[in-house]
Amino acid sequence: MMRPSDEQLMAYADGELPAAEAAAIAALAESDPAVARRIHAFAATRALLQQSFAQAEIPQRTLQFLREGAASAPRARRRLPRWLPMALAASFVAGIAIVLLMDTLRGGAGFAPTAAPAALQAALEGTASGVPVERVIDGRSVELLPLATLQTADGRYCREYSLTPLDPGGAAAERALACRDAGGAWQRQSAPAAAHAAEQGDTYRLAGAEPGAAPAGARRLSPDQERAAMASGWR
Amino acid sequence: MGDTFRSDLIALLPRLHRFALALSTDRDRADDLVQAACERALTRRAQWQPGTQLDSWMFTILRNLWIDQLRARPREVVLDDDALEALPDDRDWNREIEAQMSLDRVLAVMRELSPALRSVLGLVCVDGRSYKEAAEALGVPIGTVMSRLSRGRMELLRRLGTPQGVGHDATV
Repeated sequence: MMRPSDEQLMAYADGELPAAEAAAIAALAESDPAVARRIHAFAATRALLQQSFAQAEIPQRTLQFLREGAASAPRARRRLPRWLPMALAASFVAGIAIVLLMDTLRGGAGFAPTAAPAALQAALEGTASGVPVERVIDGRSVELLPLATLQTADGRYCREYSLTPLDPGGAAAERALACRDAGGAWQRQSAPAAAHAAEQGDTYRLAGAEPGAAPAGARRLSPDQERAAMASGWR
Repeated sequence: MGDTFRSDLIALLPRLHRFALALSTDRDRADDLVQAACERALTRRAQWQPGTQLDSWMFTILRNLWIDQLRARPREVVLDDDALEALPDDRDWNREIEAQMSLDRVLAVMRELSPALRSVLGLVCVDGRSYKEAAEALGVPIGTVMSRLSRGRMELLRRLGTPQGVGHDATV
């Protein structure tokens, strides 16, 4: 037999050769140590890969992901961008359209607050901005992400948050605003038609407000201020 | 039905994860690939036909995700396959890989191989597919699988056998 190719020797080591060919190579390996070593090299690499990869532990994150939510298969779970809490901590990111919701704070036309359900109440009461939590709200499994905390000129606290349905085919994320009333209940504010607002320092002024009219100013809290407000029960 | 699908995926997790490790050669990236593949499988569950091989389908999903990542990071491609040529055949391979080697050590060496070589190594040596199955999974002829596989394994040995390779790792 001619000197077999590497592919043939490898196929022999892997048990992929037809019986007749395998017998010929086995015979050759008996008499030719170089062939035997080559065969061994292929067998050894396979064993090495199998043994070393057997040490790998399966990712617990995915295991949990597959185990849970059998009732409502979550769609691809968005991972919170690492920069988001940092962005929230910055004085203000123009891209976060908190201001779009601010005219509800004026208590103007169409202002129809409704008490938030208990799961939302609890989440708004105790979850820092930038920290996503999963909740069932209005019968839907959602990811709730508090975006910011605001304080109105008359001292009320409001929180802007987004809700992302986790059920398959769910709607896109919604942005919403809830304000805490004197009795300690978070009231969902009806979303206004888009209103453009301009930022002035830490105060937001509605661009649509008439000149001279009392601006509906609301201050955005820093993370420290938010923590302090939360710690003191929003009082 | 959904429960069966999920538990089938769970049963596949170890194999999927090992394949992802072979492709990415990075533990974090492998974890992310497996997670992304499972998420995609759940959203595209309707496209999978019961009775066909779930493992092949999942391996394809995972490999496509990895290829997308490679395209996004073209710098990662290190070696041209054809640059790997004849290797000495009279070395004492025994000595060099007899000892059990840590996974991280093996991954570090695999990282230097081209993606094409890592794919066949992952399918055949790690997952235990036949040449024919690997050829079908990759959409290439069996001869291509064999030549890549042979080069990949010899290259692996050669790199494990270099002084920087073997002597370096205390566990070897």
